[in-house]
Amino acid sequence: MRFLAATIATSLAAYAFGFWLSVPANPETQFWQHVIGLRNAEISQVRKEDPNSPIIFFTGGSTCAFSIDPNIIEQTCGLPSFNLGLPVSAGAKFLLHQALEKCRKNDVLIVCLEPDLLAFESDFEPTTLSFGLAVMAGDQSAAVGGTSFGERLSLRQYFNLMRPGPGYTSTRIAKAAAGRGYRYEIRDIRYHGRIETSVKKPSLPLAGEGSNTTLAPSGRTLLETFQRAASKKGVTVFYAMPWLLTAESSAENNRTNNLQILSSIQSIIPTIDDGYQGVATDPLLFADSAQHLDAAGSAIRTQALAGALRSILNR
Amino acid sequence: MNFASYDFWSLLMACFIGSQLVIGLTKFFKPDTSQLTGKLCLAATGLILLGAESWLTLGAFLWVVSLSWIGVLIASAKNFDKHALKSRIAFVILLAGQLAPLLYYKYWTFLLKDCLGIAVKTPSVIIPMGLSFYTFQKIGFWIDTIKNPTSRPKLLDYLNFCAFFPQIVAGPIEKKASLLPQIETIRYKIHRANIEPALKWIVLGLAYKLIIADNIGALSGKFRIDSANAWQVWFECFAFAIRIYFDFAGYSFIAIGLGLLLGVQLTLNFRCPYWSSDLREFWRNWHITLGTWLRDYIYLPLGGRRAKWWVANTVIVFLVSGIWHGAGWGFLIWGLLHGIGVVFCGLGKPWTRFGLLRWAVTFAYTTAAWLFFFENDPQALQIKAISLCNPKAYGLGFLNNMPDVFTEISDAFTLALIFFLAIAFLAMEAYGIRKNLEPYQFSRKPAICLLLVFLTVLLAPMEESPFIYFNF
Repeated sequence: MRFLAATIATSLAAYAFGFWLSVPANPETQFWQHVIGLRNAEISQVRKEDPNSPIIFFTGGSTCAFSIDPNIIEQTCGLPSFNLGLPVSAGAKFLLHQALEKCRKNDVLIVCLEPDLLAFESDFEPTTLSFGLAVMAGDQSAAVGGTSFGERLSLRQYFNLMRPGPGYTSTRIAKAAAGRGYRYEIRDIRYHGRIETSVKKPSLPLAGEGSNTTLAPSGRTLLETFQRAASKKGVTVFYAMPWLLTAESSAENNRTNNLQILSSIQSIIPTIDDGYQGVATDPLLFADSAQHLDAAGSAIRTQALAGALRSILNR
Repeated sequence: MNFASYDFWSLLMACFIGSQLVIGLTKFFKPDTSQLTGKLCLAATGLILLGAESWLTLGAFLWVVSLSWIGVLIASAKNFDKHALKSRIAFVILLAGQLAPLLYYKYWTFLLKDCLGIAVKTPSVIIPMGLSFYTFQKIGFWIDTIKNPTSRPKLLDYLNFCAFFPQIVAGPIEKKASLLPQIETIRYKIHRANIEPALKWIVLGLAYKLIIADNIGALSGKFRIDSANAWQVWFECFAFAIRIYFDFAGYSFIAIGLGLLLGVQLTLNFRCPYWSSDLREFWRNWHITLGTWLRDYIYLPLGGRRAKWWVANTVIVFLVSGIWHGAGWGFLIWGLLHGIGVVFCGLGKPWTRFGLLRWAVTFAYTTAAWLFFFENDPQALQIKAISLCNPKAYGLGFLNNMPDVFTEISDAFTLALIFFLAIAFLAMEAYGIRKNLEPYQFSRKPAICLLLVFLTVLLAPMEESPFIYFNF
């Protein structure tokens, strides 16, 4: 029985250590928690200064975090704007829910989710990052979309998410051995939540010809459920397709495919046509990955979006 | 019945607790029937766990058990006379009946399409779980009863022999003499004296399965292997060799632990096989109960080693072993390679006196042979097999391309960590052999087990995966 007790105690200790490693001591969680904290503080400030003004929010994966410049949106549309983009590894439900939580009636929320999240069938399981950020915010159910999707974490999910797993553990060991921390730093946070890195990768992988042309049933359900939750709150939702660095030879094909996806999304959420249909072919506009625009790229992308948004909002 | 899944443990707990309530009530009202009630509950637990997999799994199991029970009844009544035509016909019919689900679900397409060239519709993509294992076990029980007719076992004891849940779906393939006496006296309760040894086996099994096998399985799905690159092919074979051993051995350890909790000693199916110095030793230590079954019911009846044609007997046994594992030419070739290897090792004195060299060649041979086990694409298989034998495929350029196996560098780091731990496990096995300890005794020391608990919690993959041997 002593050994049984020792096994149980060791398991509990392992889960506690695993939780500490995955959440409070996770550099990625620490960074994005800081970003969220800054954004929340700035949003509070803006609401305090002008309680009646609607705010334009953007949410999505890191393509959104790097590509939308709230400054340009504010100048073009005349409304305060915030970029709430987080790593796509936080999961679609968390990305959407955390943004909607910050919205009030009459606010505008632009969803810039990566189309792959919507075009491939998925259970949208919570991830270590979404769990960590949700726990740090004091609302664990946010990891699975919280009140926006009416779900709670199951016991099995708790057990799983409190563990770092082999990938994270080996990466931490490797980075610790190399003396490297998280790839982004506090100085990479820009005005009202945009992220910008000075890292420029010389050669980036170009997206080839895609074949997705429609929403998966899970993607459709995700958007429909979210639209209902947003409508209930009086928040107007739009979809704008994020940019992906694409090979010149595949650009036309991918634009055509993306138009079809946008058409599917349009039946659920109005879409914003910025004229690019999610395809960019100039690698000089990108920073450290084929999804992350640099400052110049972000400005071009935002200007294209802002113009279309202003027309829609009649401002 | 995935021992590494939450669903299995939840259902098992529910069945066990429910059974204890029923047994408790029976003890209260009719104390002298509590053991019988326990046996009924144990049988129910096994059938519920099978049924939870699928109705097909339960149905196929009951079919095989029913037919084998008829065979056992006839054998127990000493009604099998190998010289009598009626007996022979009955034997063939019952054997065919028991093998029918196996032939239909596993070998139908291979026999008709691949062997005879007849285009057929595949009956089902799902093979009832554990079919190969329990079919062999029932046939073994039946043949043992024919050879040695004793008093007929009770139906409930026979059902519990067949449905004893730790070993139904992936062995060990227990023999009548080893398991039935234990089942006949079993009490369906936790044996407190066995908790510690049982827990150690379960912890070791889960560590083998979750830390090593499942992580390699998850990563290997992302490998990009150039079939013409011998280094990459060796890497793929090595990864599979580690994965299949840790997966199957892990399962066997958990089965032993679960059996011990109920006071049943199951057969150890592995004895550090990757430290074998020749293939005969390898097969004495790898999937031991299958080897024993093949020896007792095929090899020895054919004449065994004493027959002039012992070489053919050996090759036949390994061909059967190969085809038992899977319906495909690759499995047959795998079996043939092992058969040839065992024959070579049995020809006389060891081919070299250098033990380390013998070990290295044996390990390399078994690792390379796995290629025929896992590679389903005939074209890729051919190219990879040729690469292994082609000196040009070992060029420096190919070696420099090794990192191309990984799509992301983080996968390489993860695999390095997992391989490091696998080597640590194998080193502990080697240490135990050197010190003449019981197999895996060192790995089951309390401090090691507690460390394994800690590592399992941290490093088990996020998604569940089934045991590889469920495919057999």
